[in-house]
Amino acid sequence: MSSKLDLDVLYNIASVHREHERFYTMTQMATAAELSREANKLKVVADVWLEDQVPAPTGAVDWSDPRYQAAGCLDLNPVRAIAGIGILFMEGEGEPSEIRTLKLRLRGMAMGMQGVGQWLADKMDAAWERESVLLDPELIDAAWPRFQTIVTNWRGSRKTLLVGKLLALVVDCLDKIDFTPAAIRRDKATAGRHLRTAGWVLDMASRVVAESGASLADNDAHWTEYRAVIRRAQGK
Amino acid sequence: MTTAAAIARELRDALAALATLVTEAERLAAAPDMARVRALAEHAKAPADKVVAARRDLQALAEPGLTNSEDPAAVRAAVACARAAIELEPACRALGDVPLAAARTAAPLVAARAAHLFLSIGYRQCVAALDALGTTRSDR
Repeated sequence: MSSKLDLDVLYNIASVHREHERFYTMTQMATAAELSREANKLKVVADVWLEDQVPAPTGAVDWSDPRYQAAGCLDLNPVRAIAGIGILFMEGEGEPSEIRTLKLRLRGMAMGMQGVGQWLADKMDAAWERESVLLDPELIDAAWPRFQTIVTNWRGSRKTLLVGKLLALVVDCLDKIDFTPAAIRRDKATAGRHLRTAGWVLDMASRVVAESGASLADNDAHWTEYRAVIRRAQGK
Repeated sequence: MTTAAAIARELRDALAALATLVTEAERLAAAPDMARVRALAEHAKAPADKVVAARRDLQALAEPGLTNSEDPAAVRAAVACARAAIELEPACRALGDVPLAAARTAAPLVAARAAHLFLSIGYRQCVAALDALGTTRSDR
C-alpha cells in the first residue's frame, strides 16, 4: 500500500513529465529535420565535386586581387542550389563561413547530446527501481503504462548519446577536408568522398533523432493512462 | 568476433522462446497461479541470458565503427548494431526482473501481471533490435 505522499509525488512526476515530453517530441522532430537539411547541403556540394565535370578556372585571373575575390568557384559550387543551401565557395576566400558555422554548431550539439544522454540514462535506471512500487495490488494497473514511458525514455537517452557520437564523427569527417578552393582542387575526389560521408553520417543522426521523437510521442497516452490510475488510487 | 548475422540468429532463438512465455504469462494473468509464475520465471532465464549476451556483442561490434569515419558502410553497420544494443538494454533489465515479479509479492495476480509486463517488454525490445539489425547486410 502506498502512502498518500508517495501517490502525490507519482502524480506530480506524471503531470510535469507528460508536458515536458510533449515539448521534446516537437523539438526532436525539428532537430531531425534540421540535421536532414544540413546533410542535404553537404551531399549536394559533394555531388558537384564527385560527379560534375566542370573544369577549374585557368590561371588567367589573379584571384587575390580584391576586385576578383568574390567571384564564385564554378567547379565547386552547385550554382542553382546556392539560394537554398547558402554555401558559397569564392575564388579569393578560404573555407566558406557557412561550413565553419556548421562545424561549430555540430560540435556544440555533439557535446551537449552526449552529456544530456548520459544524464537521462542514469535517471531512467533510478526510475525503473523507484517505480517497482507499482507492483502492488492497488497500483498494478499503473505499471504497464508507466514502464512503457521508462522504456521509451531509456531508449531515448541512449539514442541521444548515439547521436552525439555521430555528430562528433561528422565533424571529424569535415575536419579532414581543407575547404580552401585550391586545396579541394588538388584532390577533389577525396574531398568529395569525405564530404559525402559527412552528409550520410548526418543523415543517420537525423534518422535516430526522428525515431526518438516518434517514440516519445507515444508516451503521451501512457502518461495519461498512468495519471488516471494514480488518481483513482488517491481516491479523487 | 561474432558477426551481426550470428547475433541476429541468437536473438531470433530468444525471441521464439519469449513468444511462448508471453503467451503463457498472458494466460496466467487471467488465471493467476503462483507456482506457475515461478516456473515461468525459471524458463525466462535462458532467453534472458541470450539477450544479455547479444547486447554485449552488439556493443562490441558497434564501438569501432562509431569512431572511424573513413568507411561509410562500416559506420552504417555500426549504427545498426548500436541501435539494436540500445533496444536490448531495457529488455535485459525487464527480463532480469521476471524472477522478482514472483519473489516480491504474495499476490498471484500481481506476480502474474508483473511477469507478463516484463516478458512483453523483453519480447517487444527484441523485435525492435532485430528490426534495427535488419538494415545490415547478412554477410557482415
